[in-house]
Amino acid sequence: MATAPYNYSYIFKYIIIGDMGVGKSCLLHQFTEKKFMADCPHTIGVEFGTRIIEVSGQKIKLQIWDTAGQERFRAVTRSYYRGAAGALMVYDITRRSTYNHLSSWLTDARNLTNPNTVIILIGNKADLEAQRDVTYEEAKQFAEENGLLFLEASAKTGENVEDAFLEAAKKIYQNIQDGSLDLNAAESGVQHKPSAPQGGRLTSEPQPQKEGCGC
Amino acid sequence: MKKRVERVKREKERGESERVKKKGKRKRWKEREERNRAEEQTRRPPEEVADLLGEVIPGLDINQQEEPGFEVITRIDLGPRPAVSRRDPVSVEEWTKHQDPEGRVQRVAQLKQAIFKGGLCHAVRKEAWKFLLGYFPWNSTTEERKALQRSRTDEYFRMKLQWKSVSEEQERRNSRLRDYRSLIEKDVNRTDRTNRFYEGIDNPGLVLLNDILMTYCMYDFDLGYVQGMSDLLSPILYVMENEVDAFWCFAFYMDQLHQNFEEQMQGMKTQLVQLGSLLRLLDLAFWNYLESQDSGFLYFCFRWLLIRFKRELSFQDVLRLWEVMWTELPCENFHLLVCCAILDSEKQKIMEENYGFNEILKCHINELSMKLDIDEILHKAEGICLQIQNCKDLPRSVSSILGLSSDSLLDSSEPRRPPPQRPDACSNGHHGHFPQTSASVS
Repeated sequence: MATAPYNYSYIFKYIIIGDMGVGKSCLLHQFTEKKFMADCPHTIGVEFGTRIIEVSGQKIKLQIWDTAGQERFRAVTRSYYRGAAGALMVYDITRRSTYNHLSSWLTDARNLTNPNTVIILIGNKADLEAQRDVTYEEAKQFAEENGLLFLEASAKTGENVEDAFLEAAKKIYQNIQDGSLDLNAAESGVQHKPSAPQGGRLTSEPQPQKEGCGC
Repeated sequence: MKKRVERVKREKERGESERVKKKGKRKRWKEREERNRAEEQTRRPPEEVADLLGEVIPGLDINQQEEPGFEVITRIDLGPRPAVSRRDPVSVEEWTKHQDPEGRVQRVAQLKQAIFKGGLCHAVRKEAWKFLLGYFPWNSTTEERKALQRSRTDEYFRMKLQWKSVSEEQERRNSRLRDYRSLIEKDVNRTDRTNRFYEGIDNPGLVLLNDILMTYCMYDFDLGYVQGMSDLLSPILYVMENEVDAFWCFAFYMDQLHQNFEEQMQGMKTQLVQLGSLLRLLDLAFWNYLESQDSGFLYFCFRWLLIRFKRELSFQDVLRLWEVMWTELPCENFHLLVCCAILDSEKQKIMEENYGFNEILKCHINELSMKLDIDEILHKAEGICLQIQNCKDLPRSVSSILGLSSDSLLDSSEPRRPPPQRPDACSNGHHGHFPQTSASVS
């Protein structure tokens, strides 16, 4: 394998979790394509998206795993959590039931990721103010009590979607900088991509290139 | 982990028929377990380890513990993979030729063999799928089928009325019905919307999808609606172009796949274990590689199995693959060999590029979607089936997965002769157990 220069220095793995129909795939689509896709096919198992962002002058590739929301498939989607550096936990502000289920999603996220995994709570469909069923304040309080980042967003208008992904990335990057996230831990969910490879794990990663999967 | 792969390579070099003592394997397995556990403990919280090893999909560890009663693990020489030929789809003329004056289908085995080998022309599908799925008995007359359709139509609309007549107030007190309704509404609006049959706002196809799925909830309220069902219904409705016929064909298809969708997902678990056994037989080195990358649970095949490759192939190819699989030829669980065929084309790259869990799932499985060649897959899957059938010392576990008896081995060696209707080929559906008259289904 050639030492082709990477056009990013880190890869962060994200997962998106939450009840079915809260807009997980739409958030991802809006973030990667900058488009709202109303009839985005429902996810069976897992889907992927990637985008390169910049935090503090560092290019970071987000590798985002978008999971199926229906309760029945949790047994399988749980296997995708491991090694996530960030988790976007999504509910629908117009459907209280999706908010009520957050504690169970949070339990999974805490148990199946590492202690440093950054979890951001996202109240989606913020454009549907008239149908609001969950107040900003109560969700904010829930987030604070559980040490989560929090934003309300709209996959439809794009409001705060960018920020949701970026805020989590900033927090992860900060954890790397202050040393609380150990990059050498196998399940940190972060891969460093310096120009000269270092460490066993890095060399075994497939290199991004034009042909191939570009993951 | 790497060591293990190397060891497997060495074993392979030593000769295909070399026997590996199970004791040794069990010891290595144990060592690996301990090593894994030590690694896991350093990188994951203990709750997670417990979860991954047991709770996530309980029962999945069976294939790593070997069945009792097996003393030696044999590296089986499968021999060369026979070349297979496929044929043109069954035409309208050919289909018609198989019907007697009263409309009974004649020489069913031969017809099924033709469908297995080439699929159906689109014009035949609307009628032929009803037989393949078990809605129409093969030996029924045209008159009997008309009567059957009449009674099925009454039954359908009776069930449809049940949910249609629930008042808003009643529904407020029926959370399960409310949940089903909202799940179905959400998924119908995002099923195959790029297909002409379902595209655009207020497409009548969407109303039909919705109504059939809602009625299915009445037909099987315990199961209700589970994601994936709309994917299974969509091609059927597209072919049937009729609400009642589509419902019954869908219901019969769901009978085959019911376990995939049940609460405990037992069907999925069983199939993943079975697929593991097949992969291990076909290429031990690849199987060991997958295990070394924590991919032995084969989660990356989940979508393939749940909705029978619906999202992996183009719409037209899905129709072809499904009708071929519905013939239940050339063995039971042929869809597992379809998985093996797809993986067979990918394994070289996966191993050479040293892909890990993430990459296997993402790059080489999920992103294969729509890039697969149905003809190549069917050729290969049938070839693998023949290869396995020709094997003399097949493990009992494998022959039972594929439903191979000594009789069926004979069939396979003479592919030109239409196979007789074997009772064991009809084990997991309605096919084969045809009522003599339509009375029993009305």
